[in-house]
Amino acid sequence: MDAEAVVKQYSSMVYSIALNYVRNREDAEDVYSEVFLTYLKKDRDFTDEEHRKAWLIRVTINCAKDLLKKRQDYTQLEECFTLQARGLTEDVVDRLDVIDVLKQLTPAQREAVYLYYMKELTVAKIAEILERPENTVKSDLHRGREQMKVLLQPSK
Amino acid sequence: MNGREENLDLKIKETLAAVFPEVDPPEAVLNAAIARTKTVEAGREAEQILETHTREGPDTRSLLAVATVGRMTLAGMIPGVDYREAGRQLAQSREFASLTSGRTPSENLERLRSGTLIKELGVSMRRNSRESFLKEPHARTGPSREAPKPPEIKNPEKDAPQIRGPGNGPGGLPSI
Repeated sequence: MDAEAVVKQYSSMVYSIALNYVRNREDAEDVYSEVFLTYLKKDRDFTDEEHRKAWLIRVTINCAKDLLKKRQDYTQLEECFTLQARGLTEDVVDRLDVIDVLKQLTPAQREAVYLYYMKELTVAKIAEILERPENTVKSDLHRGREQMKVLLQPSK
Repeated sequence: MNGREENLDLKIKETLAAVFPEVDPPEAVLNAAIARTKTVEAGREAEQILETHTREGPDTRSLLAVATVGRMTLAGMIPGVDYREAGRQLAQSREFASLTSGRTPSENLERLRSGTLIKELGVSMRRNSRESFLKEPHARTGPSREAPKPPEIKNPEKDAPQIRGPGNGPGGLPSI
């Protein structure tokens, strides 16, 4: 796949992840540019699309975290939930419930839940991207899933 | 995973999608990223073609200019640009001609790869100046806008002959 096709295919994914971490559009745009510039510089071969996707996600997360660290503003995913909630226009109550549930998770658990459900990555890929043991990721996912289950199951 | 768990996972996914919507970047940002990839790929292609050049040909300088623009883009020194236009403008500039003439294509390619050529083109210039250089080549044919002011003459008789007014010097990009 040529570089232009890669940019087009993963544009939304990279920008969305960046935005979720850095929480403002300008920084997200910087991260976005940095990710694709890194991709061009590396000019590396990928075994398959999953490999490429996982690489781009890892670089996006690392770029976003680097940017936040530089500003000593590294609060991971915590505040983005609050900020996004301000912009909600529909299903506000439901979404705020979700945000409350997510806030009960640790940042590591939230990252795992986000990558598993929203980016559809396997446990092994998440472990590789976040540089954590697979069992830790499994445990994080289990905890997140249990919390979401309580929220989503109708009360008896 | 049983059916109930799968159903729960689907619900979780739908719920999270409301909190983490997929967002497209602004069109200008996407276009800049695409332009960057095109510039870099064109630069790489130009370098490959130059590898087979052994003698100066009519298009050698243009190819070298495109490769230079590609390298500068890859280094994050300039944003993605229309590489054809930027390469054409750079190839026509006096500075580029003076830096590349009298050398074989392989020598120039080596100088490009080692970074020497780009340094000589003035990597210390501020980003805006580089952008304007690429956009306004004709403005660069005159005295440099970045040229330092001549030092104040304290002893006119002694100092005056050493000072060259704007336009008398080599012009173009200031050195590092």
